[in-house]
Amino acid sequence: MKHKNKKYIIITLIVLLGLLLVWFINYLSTLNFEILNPKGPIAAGEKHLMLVALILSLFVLIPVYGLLIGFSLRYRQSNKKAKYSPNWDKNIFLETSWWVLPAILIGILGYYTWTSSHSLNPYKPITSKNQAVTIDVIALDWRWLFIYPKDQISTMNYLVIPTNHPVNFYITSDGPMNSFWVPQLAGQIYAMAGMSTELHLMAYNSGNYRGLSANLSGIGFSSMSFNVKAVSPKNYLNFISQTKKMSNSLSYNDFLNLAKPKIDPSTMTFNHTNGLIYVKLIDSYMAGKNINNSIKTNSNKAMGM
Amino acid sequence: MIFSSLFLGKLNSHVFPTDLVTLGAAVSVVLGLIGIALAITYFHKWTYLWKEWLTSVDHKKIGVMYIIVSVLMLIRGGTDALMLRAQQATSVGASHGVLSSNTFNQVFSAHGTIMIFFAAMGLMFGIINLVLPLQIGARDVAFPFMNLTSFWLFAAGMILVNMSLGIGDFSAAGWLAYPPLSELRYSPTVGVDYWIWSLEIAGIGSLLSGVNFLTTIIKSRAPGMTLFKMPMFTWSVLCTTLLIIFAFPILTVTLTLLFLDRTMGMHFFTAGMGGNMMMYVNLIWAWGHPEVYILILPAFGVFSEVVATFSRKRLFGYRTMVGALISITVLSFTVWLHHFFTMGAGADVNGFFGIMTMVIAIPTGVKVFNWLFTMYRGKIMFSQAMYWFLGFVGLFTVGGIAGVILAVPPADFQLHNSLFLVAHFHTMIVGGVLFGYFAGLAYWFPKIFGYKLDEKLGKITFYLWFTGFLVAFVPLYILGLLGATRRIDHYNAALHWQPLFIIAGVGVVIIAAGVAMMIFQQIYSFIKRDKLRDKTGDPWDGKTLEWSVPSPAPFYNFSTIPIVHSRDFYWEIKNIVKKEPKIVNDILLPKNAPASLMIGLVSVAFGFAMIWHIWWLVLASLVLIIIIFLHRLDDENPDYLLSSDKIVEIEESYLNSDKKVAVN
Repeated sequence: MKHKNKKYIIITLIVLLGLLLVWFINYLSTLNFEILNPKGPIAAGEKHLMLVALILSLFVLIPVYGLLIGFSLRYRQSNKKAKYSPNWDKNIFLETSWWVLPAILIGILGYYTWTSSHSLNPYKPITSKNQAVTIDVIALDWRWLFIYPKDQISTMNYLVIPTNHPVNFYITSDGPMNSFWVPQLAGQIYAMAGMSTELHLMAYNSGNYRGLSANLSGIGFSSMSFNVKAVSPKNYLNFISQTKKMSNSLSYNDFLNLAKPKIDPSTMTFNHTNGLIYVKLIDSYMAGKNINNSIKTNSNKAMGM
Repeated sequence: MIFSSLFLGKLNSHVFPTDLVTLGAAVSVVLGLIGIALAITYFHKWTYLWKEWLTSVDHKKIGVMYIIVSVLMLIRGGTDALMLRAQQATSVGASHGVLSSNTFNQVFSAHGTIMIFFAAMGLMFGIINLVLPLQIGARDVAFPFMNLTSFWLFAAGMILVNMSLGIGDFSAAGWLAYPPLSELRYSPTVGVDYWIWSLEIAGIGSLLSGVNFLTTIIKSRAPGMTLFKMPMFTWSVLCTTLLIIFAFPILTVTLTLLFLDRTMGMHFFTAGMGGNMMMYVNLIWAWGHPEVYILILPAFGVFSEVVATFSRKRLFGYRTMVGALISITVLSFTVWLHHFFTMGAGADVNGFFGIMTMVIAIPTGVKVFNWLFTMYRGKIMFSQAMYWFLGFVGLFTVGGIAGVILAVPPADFQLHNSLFLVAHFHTMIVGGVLFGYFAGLAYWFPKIFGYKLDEKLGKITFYLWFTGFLVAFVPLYILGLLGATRRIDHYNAALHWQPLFIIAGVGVVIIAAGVAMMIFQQIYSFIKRDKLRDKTGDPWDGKTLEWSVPSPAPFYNFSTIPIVHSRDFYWEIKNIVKKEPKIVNDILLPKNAPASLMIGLVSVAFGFAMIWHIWWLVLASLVLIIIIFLHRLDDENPDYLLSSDKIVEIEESYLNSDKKVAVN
């Protein structure tokens, strides 16, 4: 009787696990695997490399798992048929082979690593017959400001880019380190105060792509996501001309006001943007303003004075 | 106002936590300590505790103290993990979860700091302390007083980290506190200072331990034990101590520079005024990458002993094993840049460090294949230690492959700082480091306590940890590929990530059950200790010298120092040489060292004073440490003589009685 119960319990458990697995796979199929679902040449190249590395690694993984399971079963204590050689402890051929064979695999992968580090270098502009768009990116506490210096306009917490045109980003931060990342278009690069990093990407198709900060920058870090709207070149020009009709503006002083710490994912658009904000901000850190006063106020606050 | 800042520094009545979670944690810690103190008083155990443990310089007892502290910290860090998962499972869309952003950031910073520095490092030093002198035929480490001092500095750091729960706050800048976020401008509270000073003090302890164990291996080996006759665990410790000695000074200096920035208004790493945050990131990883090898090498050493013993075979490929260890030791200093491929270094730099990172996979793979071929033509006994080994190979290989993928710079641009990365290094640290130490604890437990740990409960523990690990971290690999970053306390509902975070949380609960099972195994085995007693001193048919002494190992380790003629010497001779009455001489042994405990406690005051800018206390505690140290140096009789008669008496009591021997 007891034995029978046990059997039923096991069968029920297996059925439940099976159902759970079906649900899980079904659930996974509804998700957007952004890393594996690239929408531009850079992200596609990066995904390709992951697969190359994975496939080469399987040449090690499969033998290791095979040997682990095989030897565990074959040489278990209770198997009296297996041979036992307690003093067999070296074999030049075998030992050399697992220095050399993995080294060959690593050689192949190393070749890919070297060439791809150059071909997918984020500083390398994308060659295209279409004209490139340049955008300055400033990571604020805790918002993103995007400046289109050529058109003297700017956007907060969203980006509009033309499809099939290379986009050149110059990236800095007005505070802690952040990381500028649009997973479906290109891998990330750090945004650092007083410095300018670069990233080049291109979108094949129009659509909305999630952008975010991938590096901890304080309490508002999680809300630093932004939408990248990739639109047709025609619609892009439309967006520019619409924005240029707006009456608002963003001077450097307006920017300093805007740059105060705030958690607010809402979007904004500015016409008449001072195209030198990016350079002036970096210069302000190089010159060392921006820092002494703040130390005083902050430490006073902390001491309760 | 002036008076209070002169005497109390930045301390005031607002330093106590106000949010319920932190307050609850702080109150329960304080109540727990009071409870323990009352219990000790009630059972009149203070003298026992003082004499037998807190001031004892016996390396085995220091090892046990390290392990007790580390397990407590494992529970603390695990509780943090549960809170992180609770937050991420609930904070979606309109809901903002159970923790505030600031608390959440403190919790993951504390989780990383505590797990690496006070759980993993502590377990490592604990196991090295338990085993190393016994394994090389020594009576103690080279510098017993320094050894206990190292422990108390480690404990002082641990106390400071936990003090931040109740007084002030902890760093919210991540476990490596990248500037400029960790600079005063963005982290104005004392949190980062708690982080700095607990690590400074514990780090000095680690450095001293490194020096101590390296000296012990070089100078205190039994006669005849040449380098190439050393057991593999000893080799792994040799390599780890070299890494500690080269890496930890970098940590100490980096933390000091950050302290100078924060306290003296300097500009090493600030944004602006000539500071360079990239320098900090380089320096911290120039320590940080060797650090992960510091943790994993001793685990490799444990597995080398475990797999050979339970396969009843010699370790396969001893020389290539040593070669692999040394390769890893050297290479571990050439890969640090892979932690920040995304900082914008040129393609040549990224390419070089990517390739070096893959190269380090070769010697690691060599070790795996050598372990597997140690099983080949063996007679494998599937003990709990062996279970940990099998689980380790399964997880570590997958984690290693994730690591190779991350080592390709353009792939890393997509995976860096994602939960894929988090899953990768947890696979290495849980599946590699922790599983290794757990195997070591099960393996050497009888040598220290005289009885074995219950096998069945050990295996249940393993299954809980292993399934818990998979349930907790497979979702994180998936989330990484979905584009989820680490350290987020909230995400958009439209992403539909919530089920994965909930599953990951269930995994952490299963691991917590594994920890509970481990504690239950200890209690159960203690109750059944007569049945589980190791009467032979050699319960597993071991190969190395620690199995040649009775269990639990007597406090002087060896009544006569063995003379070693070959590798696996004890395995070869134990069935040939009959146990003969040995000629025993008097032994010089170190006395207890209360000075170490004092230095540790005063270091807590020193660190606390540094954190809160109580400058008079900084000066006073420094002077006090120097006085204690000089007083100790002035002690002309730090050792005592154990007479040969007493030793013979103890040795005979082992032979004559099944009952536990009154050691000491």
